[in-house]
Amino acid sequence: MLIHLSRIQRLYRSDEVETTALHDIELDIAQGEFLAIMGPSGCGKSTLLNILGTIDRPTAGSYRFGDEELTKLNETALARFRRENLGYIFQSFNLIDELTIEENIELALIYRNISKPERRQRVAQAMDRVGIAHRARHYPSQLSGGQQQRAAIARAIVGEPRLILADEPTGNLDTENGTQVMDILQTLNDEGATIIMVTHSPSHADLARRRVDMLDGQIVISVRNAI
Amino acid sequence: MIAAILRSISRQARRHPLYVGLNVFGLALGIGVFLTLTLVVRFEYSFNTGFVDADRLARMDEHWSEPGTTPFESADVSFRALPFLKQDFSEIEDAVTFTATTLNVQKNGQFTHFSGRMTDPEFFRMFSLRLVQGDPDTALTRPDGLVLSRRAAMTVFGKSDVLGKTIEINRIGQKNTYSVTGVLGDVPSPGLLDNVDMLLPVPPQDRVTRSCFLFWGSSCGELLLKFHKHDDIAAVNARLSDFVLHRASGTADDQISIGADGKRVYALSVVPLKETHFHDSQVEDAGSSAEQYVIDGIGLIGLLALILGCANTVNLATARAGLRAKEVALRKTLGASRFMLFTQFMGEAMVFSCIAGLSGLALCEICVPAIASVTGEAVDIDYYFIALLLPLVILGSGLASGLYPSLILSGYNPATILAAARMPAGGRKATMLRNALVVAQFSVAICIVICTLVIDRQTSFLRHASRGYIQSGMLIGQQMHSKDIEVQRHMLDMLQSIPNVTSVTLGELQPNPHSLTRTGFFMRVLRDGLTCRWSGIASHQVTEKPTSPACWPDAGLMPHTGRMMAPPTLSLKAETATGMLSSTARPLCPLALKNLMML
Repeated sequence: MLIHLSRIQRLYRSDEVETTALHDIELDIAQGEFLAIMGPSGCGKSTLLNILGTIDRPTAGSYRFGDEELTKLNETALARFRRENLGYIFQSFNLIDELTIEENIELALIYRNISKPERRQRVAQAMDRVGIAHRARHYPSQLSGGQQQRAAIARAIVGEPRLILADEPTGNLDTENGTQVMDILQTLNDEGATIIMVTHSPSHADLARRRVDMLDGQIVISVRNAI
Repeated sequence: MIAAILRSISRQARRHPLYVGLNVFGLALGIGVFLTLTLVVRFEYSFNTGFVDADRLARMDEHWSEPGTTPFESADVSFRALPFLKQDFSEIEDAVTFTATTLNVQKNGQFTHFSGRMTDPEFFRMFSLRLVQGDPDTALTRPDGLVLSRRAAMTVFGKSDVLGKTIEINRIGQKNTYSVTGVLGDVPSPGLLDNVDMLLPVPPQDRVTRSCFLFWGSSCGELLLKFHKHDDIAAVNARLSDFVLHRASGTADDQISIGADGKRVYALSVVPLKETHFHDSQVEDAGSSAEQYVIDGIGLIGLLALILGCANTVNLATARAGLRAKEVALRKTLGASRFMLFTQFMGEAMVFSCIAGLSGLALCEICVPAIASVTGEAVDIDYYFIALLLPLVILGSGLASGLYPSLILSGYNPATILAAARMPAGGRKATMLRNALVVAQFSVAICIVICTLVIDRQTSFLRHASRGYIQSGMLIGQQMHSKDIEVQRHMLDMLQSIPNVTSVTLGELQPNPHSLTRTGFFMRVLRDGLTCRWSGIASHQVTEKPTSPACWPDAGLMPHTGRMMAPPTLSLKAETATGMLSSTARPLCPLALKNLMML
């Protein structure tokens, strides 16, 4: 098992109110799985994804990734974990406007001890895989939404992560571009990548191998899709 | 990492040129002003500090507290104390006289003026000065010995290899031939030897004829001392009142001493040479001086300018932090640790600080010569000092301007940022800090503007306020040394004949309460004619400003009460009784009038 979540809780406290975003989440994800998380807005999908991506910490519970208990790691160790194991795809692409597409993708390797020629080579391969090599020297603002998301996918996969986290990756795209992005994700999954995707689209969720539905901070349904 | 930081700055400069420009310009301005004013302050604090054993060098000052005058301190002292100093104070290692004098050299029919000092043979030993030519131990032992600065040697002879060459020097109308016995190398500057072209020994006849060598109370130059230890200066100072009582006091008719009650009007003190520059702002007849609090204030303004520059950078960086929040969140998501981001942002601040530091140095290069030209001080850029100071300033300003923004930026929670609809700007604390910095910046800036306006108004007032005498069109010349009345009159006639000169008079009319001549009279009037003789000490002590009759009206001076230069109305008997001189008696007691006024 790649991921094992046990009794994960996430509470948000303000001066007057305590909000439970996640309540006793139990979830196991196997290596090579493609999991879609669905649910209405505010049900805790993104919070769960942030905890899976270690950019947020659970208030209680256990998060094991392989043999490692991540809830006990400090910030520096978590940063190392992220750069070695995770790739992110965001709804709004989150490319840095000041960097070219090539530089944006390279950013995922910059904090690793990888030589510049190797970085260049891996970036070129990643761009080839998503079909944006011809846009390498362009800035994000010069690309369409679909191209930007493909660049974001290239950034997510360039480090060959063990887990790809996608937060509504087709949310800002039209149908055609959304389909292209889903095709890429499926291909990556077919090649062995483990993907966890939050989506509002049932059709895209159906493309995943497994789907979990959330409501009020809890997983209410977990179904395996027939592919 | 450095390449990544430089790339990031290059990108910022391309994408946000106004931000980068303001950031660098503000900090460069602060650093430039700080460096410039630091050099000014350092210059003012460095007077006489360059001498070997500067801690043990000192100057003897006189203090006068005569009835009817404001007490004052003078660096121009009697040399009468010299032979007794080493005798009475074992703490004193050496003592020399040091008298400023103008020396004229005639070459090809043209006079060239040189700034000279007459001193004693021990001078070079006492100040551990080396000569580039000649032996410092013997250079001034010959009565006709002369030590030149390199500049003077080049001016007079056109070369610096001038040992043994002779030169005729005109000093106060007396021509003497001197033989060059030494050439001065670089001397510690700023200080005692600034702009000194020539050093020559005190003429032997001066020691037996010049009043300042013979009488207490008659002054003609500085008395410089070297002590065995720095602490000896304070020890000797504590015993100088006894010295005055023992050596300077005498009887009422004693011509040499201060008088029977000398201690009441006269005192001596020893001032460490390193402190004279600031001390001399309150001392008469002293050299270059400055008010220490003014110099400290200038230093403070420099520091404030640097702080303002840093505050400006912090403001801009924290205000812009929100714009970089997404980048920070993304980098963290991609595996950058807080330390990595902190290092990157601090690195950027340091590079900005470096660029600003170098720009500030360029500004300093422009400002320092301008300040030197305005103030007349020989302030220059000491690159060794700058090489030490500038890295510290860059490091300090980089830390000051980069620390807080770096902490804020690297501390962003990526989950919050990526989920937020609008970018944060550091939260409430950062906003409060920015507000405080803006208020502080403007407060200091407004204070500086107000101070500048006040100084400008004061300067304007000083320039234009009536001082009670004619300022426009008046030239005040140097001493007329001749005591011969006919020579004086001839000189006045010659000057009067110059076209457009409306009036020429003689007098000590500088509006300075201390520029009074203190004279002791002992009068004896004989029936067969009027005679008078100077005694130096007598029953009549007067302070005076000798002038020719036309001097007051020509200078536009009016008496507060009474009449000026009224014709003599006293009878001979009355003159005898009061000690006042009539106009007929005056030519028999000629005065050495010091200043020549031309209108």
